[in-house]
Formats: sequence, structure tokens, C-alpha cells
Amino acid sequence: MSLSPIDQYRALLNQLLFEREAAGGELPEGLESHFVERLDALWWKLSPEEQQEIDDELAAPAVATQGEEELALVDRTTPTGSHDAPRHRAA
Amino acid sequence: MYLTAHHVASPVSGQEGVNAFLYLHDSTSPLPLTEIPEHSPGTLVAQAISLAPPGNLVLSYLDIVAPDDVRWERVRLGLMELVGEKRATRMPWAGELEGCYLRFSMAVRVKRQWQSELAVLYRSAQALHLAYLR
Repeated sequence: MSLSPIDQYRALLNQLLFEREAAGGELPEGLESHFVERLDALWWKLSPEEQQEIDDELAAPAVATQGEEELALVDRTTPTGSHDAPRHRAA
Repeated sequence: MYLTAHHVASPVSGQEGVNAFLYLHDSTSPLPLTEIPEHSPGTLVAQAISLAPPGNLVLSYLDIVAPDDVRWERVRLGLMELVGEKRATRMPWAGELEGCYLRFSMAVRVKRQWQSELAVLYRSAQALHLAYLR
């Protein structure tokens, strides 16, 4: 199943943001340019409404709408050799 | 292999840290990959602790269940696919991708954007994995 241009744009933007963070905040110039070129090419395939949709998404506080209210998980001590999971449900 | 990274906070001091744990399995578990984290994590072989348990609140976590000899590239690709598929849905984000079971969730109180939070957990998990294999 092929993604629509707007979903391709979202996926590529997510990949860029994640790769940048995972690299410590900055990607090598060549790699960053590669992402930007692909994003630019996709951008001009979007309708004005889709471009606005992307702009709105980027401006929105994504975390507040996507995170769980509370994970209700607590960690536990797990010595090497243990077979216990390192977290459990909070009582 | 079960590899997990937690962003934790002390309920007493408020201090925060990221801890990672690596478990291996002697043989293939009969359980589905999705059951491994809660029911058959394996044997803990390495951990990297920045805020000592127990009793810390888990603010976010990244779970990676994969064959012990997985190539890290598959984990990274799987994570990208997970994000692409689940980005518009509520957390936890979980799925079996590239032969791995991946799961990520975070509490709304975490101030970082999810990309940054996931990257911090990913780096911590990757560092422990690399350190153990070296």
C-alpha cells in the first residue's frame, strides 16, 4: 500500500526529527540536505489545504494530545541474573 | 532479547534519569513477542543506571523485543515504521515490525516533544546494546 503525499511528508519529517535527535541534535550536512530535498519535493505535491494541515500540525503541542495521562508504572531493583521485569504497575 | 529504556523520576527528590536494561533468552521463547516484556523478559545481563531503582516513577519507556543477534539497523528501521504508522494514534505505540516488537509510551507530563523523548530512550538502549556486545 503506497502512502499519500501528505502521509509520506509526515513520515519523512518524523524520520528527520528522530534521526536528528538520535544523532545528538545535528545531522551531517549531506544527510540533512538529503532529507530537506526530499521534503521540498513532497511539499510541492501537496495541495494548499494539505500544506496548511502540515503547518497546523507543526504548530500544535503534539505531546499533550498523544501521551498517556499517567503510565502508572514504577521501577524495581533487578540484579544481574534476575528474571524479573524492571518495572511493574504502581500499587 | 528484551531491551528496554526508562525515563524515570524519583517521587521524593524529583530527580530524573534514564535507565536501560538488557535481557537475553537462552532459547526462543514459546510466548508471542508481545508477551515477552511482562511475562518472560529473559535473564538480565546488563544494565545502565543513572537513577537507582526501586520506586521511581516511569515517565516514558521504549521496549525492544528482538532476536538476540538482531542487526541494529532492523531495530532502527522498525522504529521508523512504528512512528510512521502510529504517529496519529494515542500512546502506547506498539507493533511488530522488521522482526521486532517495539513499544513506546510517555506520560503527558514529560515536557519534551515525543521525537526528543524517543531519541533519548533510543540512544540509551543502543548504547547499552553496543556496550554489551563489544
